[in-house]
Amino acid sequence: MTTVPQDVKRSLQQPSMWTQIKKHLPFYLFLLLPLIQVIIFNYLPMYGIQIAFKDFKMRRGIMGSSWVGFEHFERMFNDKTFYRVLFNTLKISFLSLIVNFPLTIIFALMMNEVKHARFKRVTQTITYLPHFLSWVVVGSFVYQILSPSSGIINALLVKFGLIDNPIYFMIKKEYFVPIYLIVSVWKGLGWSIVIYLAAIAGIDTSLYEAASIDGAGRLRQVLSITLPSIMPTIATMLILSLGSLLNVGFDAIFNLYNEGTYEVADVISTYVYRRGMIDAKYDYTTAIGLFQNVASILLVLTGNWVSKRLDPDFRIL
Amino acid sequence: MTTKAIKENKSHIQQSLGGKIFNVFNYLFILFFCFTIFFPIWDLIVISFSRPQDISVLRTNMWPTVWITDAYKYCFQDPLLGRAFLNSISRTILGTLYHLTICSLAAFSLTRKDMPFIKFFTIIFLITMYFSGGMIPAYLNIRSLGLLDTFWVYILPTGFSMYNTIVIRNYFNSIDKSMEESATIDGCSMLQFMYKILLPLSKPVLATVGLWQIVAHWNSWFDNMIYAKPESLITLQYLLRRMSDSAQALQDQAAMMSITDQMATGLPTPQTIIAATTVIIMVPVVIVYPFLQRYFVQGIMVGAVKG
Repeated sequence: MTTVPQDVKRSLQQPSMWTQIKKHLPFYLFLLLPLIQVIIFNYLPMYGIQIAFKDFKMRRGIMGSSWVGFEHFERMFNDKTFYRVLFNTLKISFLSLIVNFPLTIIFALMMNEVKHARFKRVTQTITYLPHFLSWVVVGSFVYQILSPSSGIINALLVKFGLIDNPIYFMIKKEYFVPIYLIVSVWKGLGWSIVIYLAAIAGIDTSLYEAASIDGAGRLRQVLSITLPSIMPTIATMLILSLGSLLNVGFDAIFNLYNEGTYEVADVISTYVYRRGMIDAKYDYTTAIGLFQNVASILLVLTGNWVSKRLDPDFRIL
Repeated sequence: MTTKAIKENKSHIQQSLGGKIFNVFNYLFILFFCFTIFFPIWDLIVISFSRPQDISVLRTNMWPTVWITDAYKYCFQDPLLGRAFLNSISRTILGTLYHLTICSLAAFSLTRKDMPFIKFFTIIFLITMYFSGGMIPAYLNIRSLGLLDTFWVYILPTGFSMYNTIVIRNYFNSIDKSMEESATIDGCSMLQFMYKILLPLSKPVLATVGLWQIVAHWNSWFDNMIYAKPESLITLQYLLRRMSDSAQALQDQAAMMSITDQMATGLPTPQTIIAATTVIIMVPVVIVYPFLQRYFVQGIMVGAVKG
């Protein structure tokens, strides 16, 4: 944050810390509620992470359980399922990134080329919509459309003689990742272009006028003006998504997968849920969660560091 | 005016064949994308109004053979659905108000740059964006707080979001500082200033964050699944989730016999009931959403531009 000149003037007079505190007394009171909120619901769970290093017994509580050092982490690195879910997590998020990222930019540019204001407004409203539907509802769409007994996709495939018998897509391993990718693009595409459209709207229009006088066509203008102008936004979004590589959306997977597709669909968070909440292996799954959390933070920090190197003014916040 | 007209005229002349083809393709693609969004919604509407025997076969018709409302009658007679509706509505309203209160209080304090220890508090809040206890410690925490199986488990844990706080703070920062100075000179306390002047002036951002939160609460189901087991606390999304689960189990176990029997009796099948429930859940979103759509981005844009 940049300091305004008044602040400089005030700091020259050097008011004592005590007067400053007294002056801001109401704000300390305002902070009280938010602080209690984060301490109880954010910091207490962080305190609970210690059970990753303990043999957690519910009746003994977090404090009373005995320490076991890195036992759970050793178990984790010997757990074949853990490697499988780690691999699935990385695979699914890499693929989503590769598919989603360019598509979002292309779709933003396409939407920007629509000159008909009403068409643009209406279609944008429609394309935002899936973002506001829950994954439970979207999951229900997907199961219906791909249903082997009454789904439209199977009906069309059978009608045109492409397949003889309906396929139960949702329980077939080979279809899970493509289905996941298509559905997540479908759900997020409309909304994810908002930030790019805002960036494009901020471009100085005289650049386009000058270019068109110089005889630049529309494609030339997009490549030479629009894309370079939104590069900082693209870089920021890329770094942000790199930071969340280990966080495949639990909601999406959980509402699309089933026992038939666990092998390819199970990611870290769904595995933690099943082993932790269903099998009640609290300490072991806390260790897995901690591993994921720490790795994610390292990714975010690396991304932040790289982008600061590239552009000193870069700030995520 | 004239230059603009010339420019438009010129760009019209310059519209190459490639440009025209692109335009057609562009509009068609966007229309197709919109169609893929309409289609699943319409498909479920058709199913929810169809007779079970009409939709148990592979069909390509997008119109019910006969319009019947049995599935809806069944749904509206189900006391569980009514309960879920009430729970979803109340968690959405209370949860959003609580969230806005907490975030606005934090955001107002974070606008004070020369307040002692404000950096420390900011860091305390910022850490929550990057690090969390994770699913299991969060569950154990809720459990030890005694919030399991209570309604408050929907409201309290989602009370704070640093991201939303920053969005609100940026907007607060964009409001003219002289406003606050004159209010203070007139003897207005900070609390009075906040709810009489600052918050009314910040309606756009509060609407934006409030809408995000409304959607998040309406769509939330995971907290219901792990924190609130009693039927009396069920929410719409989790009810639907549970119904789909059991319907899938039916299909998996090839228990189609009982469904065929049910069909013969003409009662709604799980499939039509699920479709009707999905439609009921979507209706508020789909109807209200287009009117509010611009508020979803408006507040954040102003805050981002001025902040």
